[in-house]
Amino acid sequence: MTTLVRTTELPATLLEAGFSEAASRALGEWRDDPDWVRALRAHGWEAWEDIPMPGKTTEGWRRSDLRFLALDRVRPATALPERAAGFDALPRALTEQVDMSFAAGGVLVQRDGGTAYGEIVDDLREQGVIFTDLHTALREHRDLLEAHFMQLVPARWQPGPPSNAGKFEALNAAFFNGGSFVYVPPNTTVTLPVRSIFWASDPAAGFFPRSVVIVDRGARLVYLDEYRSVEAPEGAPAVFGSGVVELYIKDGARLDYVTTQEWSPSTGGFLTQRVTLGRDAYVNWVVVALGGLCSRLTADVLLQGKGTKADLLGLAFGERTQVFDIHTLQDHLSPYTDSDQLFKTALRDRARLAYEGLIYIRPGSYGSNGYQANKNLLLDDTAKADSIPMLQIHDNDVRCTHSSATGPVDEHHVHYLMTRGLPRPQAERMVIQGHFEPVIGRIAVEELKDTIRDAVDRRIGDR
Amino acid sequence: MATTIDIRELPPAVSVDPNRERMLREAEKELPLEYRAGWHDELKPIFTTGKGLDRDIVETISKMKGELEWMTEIRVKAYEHFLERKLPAWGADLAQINFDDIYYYIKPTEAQGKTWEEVPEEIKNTFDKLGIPEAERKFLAGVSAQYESEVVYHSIREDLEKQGVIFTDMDSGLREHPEIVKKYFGKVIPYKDNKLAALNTAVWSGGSFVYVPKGVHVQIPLQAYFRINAKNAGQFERTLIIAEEGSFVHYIEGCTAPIWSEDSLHSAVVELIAMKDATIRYTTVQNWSNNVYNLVTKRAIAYEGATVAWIDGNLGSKVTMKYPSIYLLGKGAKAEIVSAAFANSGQTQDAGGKVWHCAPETTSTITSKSVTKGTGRAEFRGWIKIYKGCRDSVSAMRCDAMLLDKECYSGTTPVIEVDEEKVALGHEATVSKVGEEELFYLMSRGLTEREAITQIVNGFIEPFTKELPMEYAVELNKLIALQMDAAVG
Amino acid sequence: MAAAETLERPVGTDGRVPTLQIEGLHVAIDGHEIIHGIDLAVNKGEVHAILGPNGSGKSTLAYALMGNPRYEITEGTVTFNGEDVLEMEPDERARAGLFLCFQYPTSIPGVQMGNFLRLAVKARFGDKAVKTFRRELQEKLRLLKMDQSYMQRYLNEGFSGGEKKKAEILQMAMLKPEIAIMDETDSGLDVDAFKVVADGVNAMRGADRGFVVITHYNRMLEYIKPDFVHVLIGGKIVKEDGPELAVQVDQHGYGPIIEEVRARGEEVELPEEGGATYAREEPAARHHDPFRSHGRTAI
Repeated sequence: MTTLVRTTELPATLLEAGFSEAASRALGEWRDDPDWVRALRAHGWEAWEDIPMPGKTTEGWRRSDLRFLALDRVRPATALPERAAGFDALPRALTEQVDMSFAAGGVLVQRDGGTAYGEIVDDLREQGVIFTDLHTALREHRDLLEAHFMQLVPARWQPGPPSNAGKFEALNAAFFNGGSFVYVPPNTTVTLPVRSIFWASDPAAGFFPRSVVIVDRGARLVYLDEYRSVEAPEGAPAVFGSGVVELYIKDGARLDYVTTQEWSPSTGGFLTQRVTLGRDAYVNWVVVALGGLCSRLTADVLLQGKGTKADLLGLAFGERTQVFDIHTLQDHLSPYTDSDQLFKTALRDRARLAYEGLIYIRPGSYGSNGYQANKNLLLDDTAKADSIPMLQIHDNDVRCTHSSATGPVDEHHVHYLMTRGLPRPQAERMVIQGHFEPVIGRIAVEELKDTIRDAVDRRIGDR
Repeated sequence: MATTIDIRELPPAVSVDPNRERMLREAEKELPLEYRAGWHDELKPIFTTGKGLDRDIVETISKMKGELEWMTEIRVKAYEHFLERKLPAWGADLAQINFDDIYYYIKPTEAQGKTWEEVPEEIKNTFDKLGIPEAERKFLAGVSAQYESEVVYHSIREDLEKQGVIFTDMDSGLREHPEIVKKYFGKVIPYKDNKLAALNTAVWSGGSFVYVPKGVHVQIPLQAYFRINAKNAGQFERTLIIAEEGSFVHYIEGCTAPIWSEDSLHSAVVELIAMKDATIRYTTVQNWSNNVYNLVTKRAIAYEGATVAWIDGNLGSKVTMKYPSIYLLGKGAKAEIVSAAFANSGQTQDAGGKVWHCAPETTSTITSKSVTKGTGRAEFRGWIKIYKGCRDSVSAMRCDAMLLDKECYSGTTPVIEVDEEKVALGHEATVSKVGEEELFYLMSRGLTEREAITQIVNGFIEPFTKELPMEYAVELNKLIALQMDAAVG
Repeated sequence: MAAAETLERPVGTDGRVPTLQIEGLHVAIDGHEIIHGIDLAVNKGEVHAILGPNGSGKSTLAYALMGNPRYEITEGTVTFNGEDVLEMEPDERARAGLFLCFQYPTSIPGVQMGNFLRLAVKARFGDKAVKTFRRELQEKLRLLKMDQSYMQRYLNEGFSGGEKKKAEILQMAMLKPEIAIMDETDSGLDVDAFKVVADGVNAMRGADRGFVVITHYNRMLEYIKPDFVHVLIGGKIVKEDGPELAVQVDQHGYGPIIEEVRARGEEVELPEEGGATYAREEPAARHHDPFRSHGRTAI
């Protein structure tokens, strides 16, 4: 691993709360960005300034809750961490939250944008697999990154319909700090999962990871993206950040991807992930959203090449006053493309969900299939779910369906289990677990399934 | 225990005649297949305010009608709001509407015809061209045919009068029953609702006023025909239906319009109030000519145990934006919205439905079917909101789109908001083209491709047509056949 | 077996209280009374058949005994080993040893058959039963000619009619009830599946288990020989006898019995042609289940 640890002092502008052009520039200098990257960062700042702050009347943001934002009280960055000797040498506050029980091809742990621990299996390195932190990659792999970095989620984001303001993607473009770079060379198979763990440990500083993943022609990768954060101190504003991931799956390649968002309950943040698929490529993507006070997740799949296929599955479990604002896009840009999306949630206490999913079939994307389903369980009558599954179809030789269902735990199911001797609480718990099983069952790493099952189970609580 | 319900298992609010299928077939044989719109008669308007709108014109309209002061005041206030208010930023493109290039008031004849004999000959001719058969005219409970902006012919069957049912045009309703109109006018749809509701409130003319007393079942559907027939004539009819406790009424409006080269605007407001245990069915088959902007606000209130059904078919117009909505305010109230849209080349059908569940044990279903052809655009917008405390409410929304050609566009935007746990709510949507296997099967039985597609399309929108009275169902199937004949896009 | 003699006993032949005792049971659904007073006593070791035309209230009886919340007990008592069953929740009834083999088993997405069975066995027999669970499960799977892969599938989801019934019998075999109620277990089965199911039931017969076999025709009873036959019409048991009664019904239908009852001067409430649907649980597939696995039901 060739990660360079920057030991330079944090510049004074970055110690002040609030976001400014000077701070954006200082961050680029401090992280030693090459010039071409600094130019992109500058675009990011311009876009951030130009794009109006979304509000209750902005299309796509009506159901968001941005009251947690306190931008002038957040520092753009914080000091970089020391390198730990091994995973176990990392602070327990993090290690006890991360399941390290299974074998990995590589692990990169970033704390507040800096690498705290990172390893890659040698076999992979010898095969030409690159796994490093973003800043090192920007300096050393310009050949690979110039065509991919900030291309899929650019500073001035044009996500296509429906128009999204792109405000917080711009903020990330101006203040990105940390992130991973994964490259799998053509026809190389990486089945041991490669893991990136992003931990925001300074509640006063914003977190802005930006990652790029390239799975080259005919290659295969299993990749886990994990997000954690500390609690905000009593009376302080929510821990805040905006992460971006750009994933490129080239012709004939396959990515098995798992995103787990387990931010602390006092974190408000944005996570924008886009996958683009080359000809005959395939992605199996599971999004697990459990943490955060208010979180907005954007998961987009661009079916760019002919014959591509994407399975996008997600689950969210809301408790207390958690707000999940989930946006998905299945953008069919070529003929014979298939997408299948299933998002399942359960909400208890006063949790809220706003789900907005779109299947977009471009003209000429004949022979395509798009499926979309959103199923929400309301476990308490104080919980609330809004669901907007949308279809926009510009070709007639397609087959698309979507469905949405919201309601309490099905009494028929509970009764049947009770007739087999399970007490009501256990029967209900089982039905709720069953609700999530079709999503959890699709997680590419067997061991991780049980970890997620346990995490969900803890949240079901006493029924 | 929460009940789950399958939208397909819900019976229609009015049971379907078992002989219906057979009667449909026979009726189809008898009626000539001809396009019913496309003619206009040379009629000289008696009075018009000229193109455009200002405060004076609004006051003049009110004065011409001899209205009471309160109505003049509402008109003026609504006009002021119309000026301030922007057009909706979403939905179809309305930028081409030039509000200064529209006649807001045209009075075609001096007096209202009391009997059929008194109706002017030109207008009778128009009805002939519209193909309303003699027998059907007799069958109609009361014909309230809106021609230009005034109701010219009106008759109420005696038994309706005896039952105390009021079925008249809105202007007469205001004159003869000011106390009822004042109580309900603009209460369901206030002029501040949207720009076009404000415009309608300012310049409305004509429309129907229906009042059904407690416990009265109006056996035969009340029908009204609307038609635009003047260059750039705006139609701003206003309809108000009040069904008192335990009563039943079915109101049907059918619209056909001649084709004009310049854009025309139809902007109606329809308010329905269903008191405790009352039922209102409101059926529309809209076939405006392909230059009309059809921007209509329709809303109903249903109290305890009441049922409101909007049966809404959109075939014509250049642009339609219409989302019939129902507020379920009382326990056990029911809402049903069944709509069908056919968008051919150059047309945009932006339609849907809204239901607000504001009381426990309320039920709603929204069923939408859209067919697009050529460069047609169909957009479905559904909105179901279940407020907290509306326990044991059930809602099912379903929308299916069929795209016949490559350049079609179909959009589906259902919004589902649930604030209450003990409810069952589902939404399903499909988009498809004509199934190749179905097509092959029908063609292997000797049908031409066009015939086969027509059959499949008619089958596809059958959940809508089965809600229509037979003569409308026949007409609809024919219009669809005619749409199929139109040049392939 | 001396049927008539046994039937007259208010308590078990040896003076003990019957395992399952139903007295004066009235059941209503949505305020509509379906069962108008039934008395029935079932002991371990006995097989009782309940015969009746469609809509006579047979399934209602089964659901009511298992405690389906839709079924309201308006009158009467039901005891199980002397305990008041009507006070028990469905799960308590199951743990006490009562089992219902559903006519239309509910599909539950996401719940794996294997996990579910383990939990159910644990709920009935405690932790120690889990140790022998695997071995026992293998044995029962073999008996029912069921593939191991069943255990990974979601409970009843996407099961064919025969698979669902086999899965019910498997659950019964694992939970080893004292009294099992079989509700139309023969319906919707082809000959092969039917034989497997019947063999499964017969294998479980014994002195420690009683059966209530509900059916509307005799095929089931050719395989599972009953000790007692009760004819249920119009929500009442109108005739009871030994196994020969089933043969009689098979040959002559319910007509002669109805005549007989009328001759006694009693009213018989006959179901409408095709069977009354009010007493029947709708087949699961016909429910609009908002949580069925996301379908691909285009066109």
